Amino acid sequence: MAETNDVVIVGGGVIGTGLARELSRYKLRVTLVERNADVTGVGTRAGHSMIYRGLMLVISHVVKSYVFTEKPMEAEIGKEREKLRAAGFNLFEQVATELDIPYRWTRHLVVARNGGEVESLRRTERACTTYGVRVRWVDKNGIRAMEPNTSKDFIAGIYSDESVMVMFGPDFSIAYAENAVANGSNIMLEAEVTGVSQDGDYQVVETTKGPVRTKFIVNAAGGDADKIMDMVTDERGWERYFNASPLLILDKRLKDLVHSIVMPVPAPGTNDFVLPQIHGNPYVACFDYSRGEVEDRYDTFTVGERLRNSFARAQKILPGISQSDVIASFLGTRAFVRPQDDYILGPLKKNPRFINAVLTPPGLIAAPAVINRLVDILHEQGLPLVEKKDFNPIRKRIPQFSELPNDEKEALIAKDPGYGHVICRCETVTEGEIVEAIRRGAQTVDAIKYRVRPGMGRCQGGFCAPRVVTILARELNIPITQVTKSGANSEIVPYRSKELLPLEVTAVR
Amino acid sequence: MIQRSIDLAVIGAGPAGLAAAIRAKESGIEKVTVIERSEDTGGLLHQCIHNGFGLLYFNEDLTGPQYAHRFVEKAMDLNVDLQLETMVLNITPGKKIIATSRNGMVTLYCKAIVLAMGCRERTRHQIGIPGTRPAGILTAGTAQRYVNVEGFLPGKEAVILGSGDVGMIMARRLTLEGVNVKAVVEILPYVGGLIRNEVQCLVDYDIPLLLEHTVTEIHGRKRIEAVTISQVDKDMNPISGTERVIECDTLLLSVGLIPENEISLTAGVELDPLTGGPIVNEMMETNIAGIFAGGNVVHVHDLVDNVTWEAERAGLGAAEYMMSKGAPVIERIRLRPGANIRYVKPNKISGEKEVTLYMRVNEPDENVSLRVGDILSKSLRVVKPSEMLKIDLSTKELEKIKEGTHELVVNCTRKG
Repeated sequence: MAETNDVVIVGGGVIGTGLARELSRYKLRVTLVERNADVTGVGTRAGHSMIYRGLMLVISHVVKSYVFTEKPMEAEIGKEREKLRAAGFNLFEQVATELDIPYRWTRHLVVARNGGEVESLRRTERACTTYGVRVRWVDKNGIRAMEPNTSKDFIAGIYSDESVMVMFGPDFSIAYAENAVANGSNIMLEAEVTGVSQDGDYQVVETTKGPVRTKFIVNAAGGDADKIMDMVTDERGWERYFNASPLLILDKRLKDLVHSIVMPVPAPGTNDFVLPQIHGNPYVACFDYSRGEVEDRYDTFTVGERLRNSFARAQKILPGISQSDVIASFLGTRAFVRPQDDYILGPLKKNPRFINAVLTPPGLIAAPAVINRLVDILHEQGLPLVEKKDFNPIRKRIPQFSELPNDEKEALIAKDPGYGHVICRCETVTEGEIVEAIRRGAQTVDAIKYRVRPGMGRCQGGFCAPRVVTILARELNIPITQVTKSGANSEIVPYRSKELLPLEVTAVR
Repeated sequence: MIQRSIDLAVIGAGPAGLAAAIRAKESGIEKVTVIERSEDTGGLLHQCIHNGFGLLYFNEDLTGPQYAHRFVEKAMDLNVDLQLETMVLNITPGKKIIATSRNGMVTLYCKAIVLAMGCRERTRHQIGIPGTRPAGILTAGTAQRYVNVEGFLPGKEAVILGSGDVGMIMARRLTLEGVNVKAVVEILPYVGGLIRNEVQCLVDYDIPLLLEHTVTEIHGRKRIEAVTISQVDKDMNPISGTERVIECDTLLLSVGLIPENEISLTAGVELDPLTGGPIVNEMMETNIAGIFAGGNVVHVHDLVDNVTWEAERAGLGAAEYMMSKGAPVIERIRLRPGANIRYVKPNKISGEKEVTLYMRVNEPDENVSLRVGDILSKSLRVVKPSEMLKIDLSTKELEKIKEGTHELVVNCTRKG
């Protein structure tokens, strides 16, 4: 790297990209290095794409506290991360508006099947009071009116209409990254950090794409933050551990199946719920804190038994669904910290220019506040913050053809005929949107999928994938054999016709 | 937006759409437009470079593109208006179509419509295969497009799940391209496609066929590295202890085809839960007057010849509908699947017109009697779910229908 950076950010999830965007307000040279081929992150993607507080946050503490800590609720409230989550929640709408991130306030409904569970609802209500959160009650008939497609076993519920905003996690980091780059920050993809060395006042971050020199390093490497920290010190003092839970994605045809997040009272260590995701597909999450801990942090393996078990649990909430309604499933691996069980934000004592930004789930909620805190920390450590006059906080997302009224569709096509050429049948995604995604940095089939959705529909790319591959090859000016699903070693069609044939042809019987 | 009034819109330029358009034209209908989302005509035939097409219809052994080409030429001769790379977004029950292409959006006001959108492939997630989600997993039809149309290979060591025709054809195709096809894995105790394909694709190429097995795990992070296969019991549950790992960099899935009726639903067309395609009468008309359907969009066929015949019927139905100006449709008699019959098409007949019935059995059987109510009985030596059955109801059989009959049950049972 020729130039020296003021800040190098390790990790391109929501924290890293958000910090790159914040720092692009100032006259600084900022480079973000990301190991993967896109900035959708791992934790950013594995979370359930909700910005929440109140009832949902209380439930998440209640569920985890059964297994992870014996600390009471009050101890939770006192933590640093709670303040950041509350602040982040309050900042979200402004950030979402500036960056054109779709979101929707969604009711959170917790339901009980029997007297014991109703008692749990009462305890939850009391815990909410500690948080200053009010919930309302609903009886069996009220539940049937609110959510007619859910199980008839639910006899009572509590709900809140101001505690959750549903959004799509990757939209957050993708939007931050676009705005960061538009305002002058650099992003290096497929640049894995292999080491860090000191060079006087500066530090050198070694990556698979070459060394990057910088004054400050921010460690926003998510699940691998421990490995990055170990490159600068032996005294980490905390450990990462991982939990993974399956998520089922249902057919968009079922978009009116539920309107609220419907959550039966959690059993100790488990938490199931149906979430009407922002794109329209109902998501079914089946958390299992008691048995979800995974040895292998990169393990995204949906074990058959857990998958079948998840489906059975989904049917307890939505009795009418069938296996063919499940169009996709994945395992979200999330990274926790012990023994502190809190965010670790701040400079190292022995190297105050290395700043940790290590979060625990939920982290998405806190992101805007964590990012502001990191800027403050950097400033305290001597980073000058001189504002750029031409910083533009506004970013507009790629137009979504399928959502536009006909006259706007026509106007788009008139400007760019590619918007009239539909590539993805299931989600009605046009070539114009795909090309725009590539122009904004998508270089892989998955990167396009996360931005504009081809491949997320019920045929899972059966029709559109070859066309997306062709468009990528054309726009990036690379051979089709080099187009990948998610970066190196994931080529879609790695060989050309006849390339594999031996020189002699074997006779057929 | 451009607005046009036409007589007939046909959605899909595959064999079904082309056949329907041609028949409508031949029946005197003037303004016929075929709307196709892809870059080429022929639908799936475009990528089926193997032969075996047209043995019944033309009495010739053609490749897919050759078969399609006959109809494309005829359609062009008849001045059928063909719109490629055009996607239908919406249809109303009033037969107003909104479609889009690079040239802009267009609204078509139609007197009749034939739905011929074909089918899509079932995906890995719909059958719940656990494991990672790496590169190298493709449905067999998508792989076929890459190999045969675009000239690329998905990998060099493949396992194929599903012994339907597409899976077997691709096993042979990949082998011919130098790919090491390690196994075709089939969950049922019998092959899913035609016997002809089992012989000509698997046996002839020494490709192992593992019946009563399935893929129980997928391994590999960025790219697939292996699959675990297990034997299954008669309820199709994996038998613990029988797991075996097969290394591969490609997994093709040939696990079923699903009629593609998304836009049918926008038109208010009622679907048959037994097939996933529209409920139709003997002229292939759906519940919406003037909207007809034919080919794989109604039910998945094995032979393109039958697709052509069925879609010709739909085209004729559309033509007669337009010329009859609101004459009542007679759908007096319902055809119901009985013993060992999965479904029967059409769903409803008048009892007054000669008609071909198409059906499939649920389970394989031998030495059976196939009966339609008490008006027809046919002996068959072997029946299997993968081979569609056809029965013609001619005037002779129709005359036997008793007065006041509202239903004919089709049964297939062992003789003696």
